[in-house]
Amino acid sequence: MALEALIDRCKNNEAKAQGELYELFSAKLFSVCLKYSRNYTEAQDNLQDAFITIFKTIGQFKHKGSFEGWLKRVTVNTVLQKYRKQRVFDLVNEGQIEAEDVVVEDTSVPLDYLLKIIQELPDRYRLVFNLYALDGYAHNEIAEMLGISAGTSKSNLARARMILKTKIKAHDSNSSAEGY
Amino acid sequence: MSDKKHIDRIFQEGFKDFEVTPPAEVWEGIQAALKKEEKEDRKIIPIWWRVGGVAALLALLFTVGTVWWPGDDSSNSFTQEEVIPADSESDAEQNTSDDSQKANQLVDNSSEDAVAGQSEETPSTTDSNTDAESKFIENKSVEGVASTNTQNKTTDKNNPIDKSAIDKTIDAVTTEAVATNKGTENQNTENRSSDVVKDSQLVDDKTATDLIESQTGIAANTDSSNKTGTDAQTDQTNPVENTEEGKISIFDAIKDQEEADAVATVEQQSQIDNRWSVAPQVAPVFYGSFGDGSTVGAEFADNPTSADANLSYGVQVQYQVTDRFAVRSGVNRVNLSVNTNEIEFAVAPAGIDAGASKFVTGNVAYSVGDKGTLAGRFAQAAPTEGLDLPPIDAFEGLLNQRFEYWEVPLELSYAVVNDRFKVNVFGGFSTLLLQDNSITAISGQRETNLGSVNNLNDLSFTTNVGLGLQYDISKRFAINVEPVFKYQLNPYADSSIGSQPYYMGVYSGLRFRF
Repeated sequence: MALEALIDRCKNNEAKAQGELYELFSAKLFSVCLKYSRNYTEAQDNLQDAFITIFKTIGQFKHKGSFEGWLKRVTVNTVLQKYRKQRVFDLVNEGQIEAEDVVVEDTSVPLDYLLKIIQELPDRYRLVFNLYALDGYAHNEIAEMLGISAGTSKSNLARARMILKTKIKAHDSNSSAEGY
Repeated sequence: MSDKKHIDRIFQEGFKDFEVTPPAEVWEGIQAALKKEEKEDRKIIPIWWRVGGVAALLALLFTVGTVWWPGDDSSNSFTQEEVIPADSESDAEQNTSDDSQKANQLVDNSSEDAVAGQSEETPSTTDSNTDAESKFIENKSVEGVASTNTQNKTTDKNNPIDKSAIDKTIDAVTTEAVATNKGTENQNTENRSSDVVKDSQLVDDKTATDLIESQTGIAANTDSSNKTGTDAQTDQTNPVENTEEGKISIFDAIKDQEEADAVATVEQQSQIDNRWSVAPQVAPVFYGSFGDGSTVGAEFADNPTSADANLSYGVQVQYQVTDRFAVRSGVNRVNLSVNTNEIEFAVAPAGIDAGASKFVTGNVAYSVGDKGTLAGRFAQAAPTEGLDLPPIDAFEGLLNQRFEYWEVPLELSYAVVNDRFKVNVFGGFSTLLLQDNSITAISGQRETNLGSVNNLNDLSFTTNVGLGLQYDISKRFAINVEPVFKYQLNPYADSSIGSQPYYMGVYSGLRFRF
């Protein structure tokens, strides 16, 4: 199979194969970085670091499970590790709030606006929201990844949702005010 | 329009097919980082290992070269310890005559001249001469004197000493000894610069011992390399001692010492007599590798490998250049074996190229792949999607690869400790000629021969470093035990294999000199 052969060539540090692998997956992984990072420039840095880690550790990929899943995990971990170094997880100091279902009007919100408001979230809220809502991690997994408690993870998620809801509402009212 | 929707859903749907092409500079950054990484990772360690044997060889040459190279005579510098027997001091006290004092001054002068070129040794030299004036003392710093470039001066000054002493003692024998200096056979083959001194005192020794009956077993002491120094010292003090009681014991002691030397240095003598030696030897060898990778192929680079102990046997031939320095070669048969683990293998379905490593033996083709991958590969390689394949009979296990080489080493050996028990360090390289290789898939009790691989070079090389321990049983026989490390330089024709193999062996054998 073509992908497996490509992976094997990457394991042997073939520059050409690495280029091909980058072509195949960079767009997908860049979207991950954009969602997990504060802005475009930071996402760029994170993507670069993620690929370096990928090429260095690709030998550990044993052809078990999806390769794309593995790439995504490596990418997310790279970003998390960076934040861990910056100790942003400690900075948010808040009382815990109860998680509740947050619903909004089903209006079409442009994708770049969604991305913008995600990026504007405080670091930990953004990470928790991404991990839970978009990438399907459970709270106990998130707690372990971020070095926080599951309760904090839940609380952060709830706060993230509230912020996002407010911003979507603001967007909607702006839009209708402008006559859309 | 007014449907309520969970906020998570909005984002999930929005980002479902979200892809953004990153700017080109990201890839450039990655490439730059990887190149840097590669340089740091790949070069430093392997090159060190590659040149390890050669470096050891060069280091040997430089250190050893200074010892035996003609004109650069400092062989005695390897045994710098100073040995002053307790009883020699009491001897020294006996010698208080005017003669001895005069001789002292002359001796001191001469030794100081010599010492001028060897400032490090000045204190000990002076001390020893003070003691030695009146009697024998073997101390190494005197050797230092004997081996300096000012040797000729020393010799010149020794002669006046003899003469002045002779005047007083009217020792005809000694005069004769001086006169016959030049005709005396030089028995010392390695310490050329001290020949003159030695000659004269050899004669002195003989004549003196002829004249005087031996007695008193003064501590015979000393290791063999002291000989020259002792002799030189004796030469300086002979005339003085002829008038003293103490002189007798000197010659006696020297005689004793020479006898002791003869016994204790069997091996030294025999090396000169028997420069050639052969040693049949056998060794367990262990195969290992630096860097990632299976030896079988790039596909298995990430599989763990393990090595069995195997056997190497052969004959070593050695030529002793000096008593410490030897060149050696020989022929060895080397069997090596290495396992690549966590694979599975199966009879490949006809007409399917599963992309896995394929081995054909006779009419049967085997596919080998990483553990757990074969079924998927066969399914994907099946000509028609959904076509039912026969169940695949895959065996999990390991690949055992065996190599057989003829090895011809060329090594230089230097004896760090050179007694009856010897410690050698040696380095060099070996030429390996590939005789045979085979690959076998092993799963439990089932062993399937898959044939051979063709990614091995027929001719390859190793760099060797090792440590040799040798014990002399007799003049002709010795026992050897030698742990050796051999790094393979170019075993694979296939450059995609990251494995950088080496093997280690502990060679033991019986050495016969002739």
